[in-house]
This record gives sequence, C-alpha cells and structure tokens, in this order.
Amino acid sequence: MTNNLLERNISHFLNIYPKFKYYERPKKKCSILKGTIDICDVDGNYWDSFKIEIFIEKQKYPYIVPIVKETSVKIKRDDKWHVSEDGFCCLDIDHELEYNSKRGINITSFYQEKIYPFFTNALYKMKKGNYANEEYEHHFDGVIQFYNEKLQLKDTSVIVKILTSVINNDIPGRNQFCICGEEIKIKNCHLSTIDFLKSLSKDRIQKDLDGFKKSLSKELSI
Amino acid sequence: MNIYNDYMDVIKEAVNSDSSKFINEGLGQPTFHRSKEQFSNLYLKASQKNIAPSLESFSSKIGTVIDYEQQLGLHPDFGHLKNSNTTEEHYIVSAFIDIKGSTNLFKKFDKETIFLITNAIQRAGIHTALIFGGYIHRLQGDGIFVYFGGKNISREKAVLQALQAVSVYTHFVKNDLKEYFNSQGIENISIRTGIDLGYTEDVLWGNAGIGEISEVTTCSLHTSLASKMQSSAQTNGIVVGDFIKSELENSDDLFKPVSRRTGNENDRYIYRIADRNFNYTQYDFNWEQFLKKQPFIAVDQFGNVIPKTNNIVNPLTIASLKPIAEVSKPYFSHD
Repeated sequence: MTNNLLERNISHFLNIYPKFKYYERPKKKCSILKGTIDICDVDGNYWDSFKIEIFIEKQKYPYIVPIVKETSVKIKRDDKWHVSEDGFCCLDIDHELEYNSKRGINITSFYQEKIYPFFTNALYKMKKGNYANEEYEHHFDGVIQFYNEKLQLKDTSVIVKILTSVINNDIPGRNQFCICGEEIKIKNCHLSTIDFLKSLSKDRIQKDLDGFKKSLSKELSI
Repeated sequence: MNIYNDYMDVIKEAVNSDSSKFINEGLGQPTFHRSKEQFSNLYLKASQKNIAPSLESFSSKIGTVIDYEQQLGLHPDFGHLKNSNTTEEHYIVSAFIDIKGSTNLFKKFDKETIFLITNAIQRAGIHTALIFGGYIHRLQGDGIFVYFGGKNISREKAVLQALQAVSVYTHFVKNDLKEYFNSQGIENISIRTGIDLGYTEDVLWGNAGIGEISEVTTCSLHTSLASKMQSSAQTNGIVVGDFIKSELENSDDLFKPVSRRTGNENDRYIYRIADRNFNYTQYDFNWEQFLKKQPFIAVDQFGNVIPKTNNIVNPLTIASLKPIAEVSKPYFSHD
C-alpha cells in the first residue's frame, strides 16, 4: 500500500537536500534515505561531512522514530560517542523520540531538529573534547536526569505517584488537586507533565515506574 | 555566499559614497560629491585583475589554474586563426549571461556609482567564469559572453564547468546582490542565461572583421541559439539546449522543456528546420538543485547553499557550531 504522505514528505526532503537519494525497497519494511550530511556553522562556514542512512518504517510513517546509521565511520563506535558498533546513532532520549513519533513526525523537521544537531554535536565533541550541552547519563540514570531536567520532577515518591496514576489511568479532573500532594489544581500543577507521560507507551511507563520504585526503595533503605 | 563579500563591499562602498547620500543627509547644506581620489580608489578595487581574497578561498578548492592573460575575442586555443584565412572545426559551449534591470540603478545613483557597481558585478562574473575554466569572449553592456571548452578539455567537462560557473554566479545575483539592492530600494535586478553546445562538425572557428578590428569567433547555430535562449529564460533562470542536456548523465530531472513553464507548446523548440525534421528543444535548467549536488558546495541545516572554502579569510571558530550542537543531548542505553 502506498503511503502518500511519506511520498510527499520525501519529495520535499529531496528537494531541499538533493545530496540524498531515496531507496524505496518494496519488499522491505523500511525504506532508506542515503546521503551526505554537510555540517555548516551559524556563520555560513562549512566544516565537515558524514555519510548517513535514515531508515523509515514505510507503513507506519509519520508515527515512527527514524533510525539513523553513520556509514562514513568518522565517529568512534563507542557508547561514549553514542554510536553502536554497526553505526546506529542514539539521537536523543527514548522518551522524547517516542513522544514525537506518537504525534507524528515530518522527515524534514526530524532531520533539522534531531539528526543535524546530533552530527554537529559529534563534530563539536571531536574538536572540543565534550558535547556542547553535555549528554544524558547512561542507562536509567539518564531517565532520572530526564525527569529532573525536562519534566521538572525531582522527588522520586512524587514521580512514582504520577506514574502509577498514569498507568492506572486514574487522573483527577482539571480543577481537582494535583496527584503530587500539593493543594493546587492539577491544571496549574503537573497536568502538562502528565499529558506528556500519557502519550508514551504503557511499556515505557511501566519500565520507568519499576525503575523509580527501585530507586525509592534504595532511598528509603539508606 | 561569503565568497562574494569583497565584491559586495566595493558595491556597498560605492553606494555609501553616492552623491544622493550627501544630499539627503545635508538637509540644505552645500552638496558634497565623492572626491576624485575616493573614486579612483574604489575604481581600482572594482577593477582588480586578480580574484578577490573571499573568492580565492573558494577557487583554491576548485583547483583550476586561472588564466589571467586572456584577451577578448582571442580564445587561446584558436589564436593562430587571428588575421589568417584558415578556419577550423571544433566543439564549443557558448554561454550568454545578462544582468537585467540595472537601468533601475539610474533612478537612485549617480553615474560614477553605477559605473563602480556594474564593474564590480561584471568582475565577479568574469572571475567566476575563470575559476571554472571559462574563456571570456566578449563583454556586452552588463552581460558576458563566455566560451567553455577547448583543445585539451573534454566536451563533457566543458558542459559541466559551464553549468557550474553560471549556477554559482546566478546564485550570487539572485541572493547576495538582490538582497542588498532590495535593502537600498532597488528592485528587479536579476540575471538570465542561455547556454548551448555546438558539436565539432557544427562549429566553424575563424577570424571575423579586418585587421585589428577583428576577433577570432565561432560561426555556429548553437552559439546563436545560446543568445536566443537567454531571452527565453525566466528571471534568475538558465535555459539550455538539448545537446547540453545530453552531456549530463543521470540528470534528466534537472531539465524541463520551457513549454512546460510557459504552457505554450510553441516554446518547446528554440529552433526548427521542418524539411530536415530538426526540432531543437530548449530546457529550463534547475540550477539550484544542480548546485546543491556539486562537490564544492555544502548544504546546511536548512538547505542553504554554502560554498566550501579554505577558511583562510573566514577562520572556523568552534563557538559558531555551538548554537546548533547544543540542541542535541544524546542518550545511551543497552535496552
């Protein structure tokens, strides 16, 4: 079955970035955009290029997370560089990627907002020795950091309460007090955070809940 | 394009020292004019023979050896035909590049300013053609008539270089130049180009004229058609003949018959000889797409054309990468 939106979006992408070619691969689940990403700075100076492949799950587009592979092997295959042995790149924390995929992505915006900054950041690290905006801690520590920084949730017991409500679909009405225990209407407290979490998969929420419960029991035992 | 900054600087200096500026700012005070010395200094800058440093940083990446000793009307490979009675057949790519709308400059500026501006624009065009191995055959008002190709260069390469040169120059006029003139209240400055290839059997080289009132030139339908196609081009457009299209492999998507744009089937062919069944198609050339595919051009985050340079004029600073890099925050997990 043809995905018309994908066709239109790919055509638009190729018009802007003609150094890429599209391989539809009719018998495969994913089509591929193969090409060169040129890193240029904000002053309009060119720095370097990487060869990359972007895997797109055809039937599910736009509700997907594109997978990106670096094929020029300029970036070290190492977890410190967020590139696997096969060249697959960890562009962002899974929560953000999943959130975007649930809302539906546009391949051009994804390239501009996720892929291009990732490779610019890798180049920045090659030149400077560190990432421009640090990185998430690895494994579950990174998830904790994401909840702290992006969702502004620092208290593990509050996080557990919120995640439990989300998984049980037990969210108070907009004008009722918030789950966190503050006597503030939820619409003025954690509603936007809860809405973000509600858009993630049950599996993701369950996994986070398990992780935070483990952290909480560690905290309590100390 | 940063590579034309030096040329733009001359234009900006000329505009800033135009007499209209003094009149406006004088508010009834005596009118000042640009001094002769000021004009001479600017004229010197506007007519420098060598490529300006900003463009040099680009040309050094292309790697062509530039021939500054060219003379108009005397292609170096056919110089032996000057004032001789012999002729020679040899292929050539002809490109007619014309700047349109420069008459509008007279509405705003004095003749000295316009002289400096048009010199700087033409110099940028000449230098761009030279970088890509072009030979400047003739200057026509604001326009330039350039040949690409010769005895030691393949037809295919000559076509490629012609398309590269005019695409880079068209980008300059359509963006840098237009943007600046718009900011000065001058609109409708644009460029139009026609390019065609004549095969060896269709091009006769020889001396035209008498004594020193002569030039070594081509007699070819395809040189004439290049000029004709220039007038078929849209604003900031390039129109090429069918033979040009044939030389560029795997690039059919870059060429569309002019009739598709105009909606008039009469525009499909630029030339027809009915009894020989010769129908010669003219194509709009998608130079922006072509340019982005060239190895000497980078495409930035938002799809803008960025020429690759040696960064001597504009050294790279890591701080300029940061605003883009810091948007990314990578994460790693085995899961």
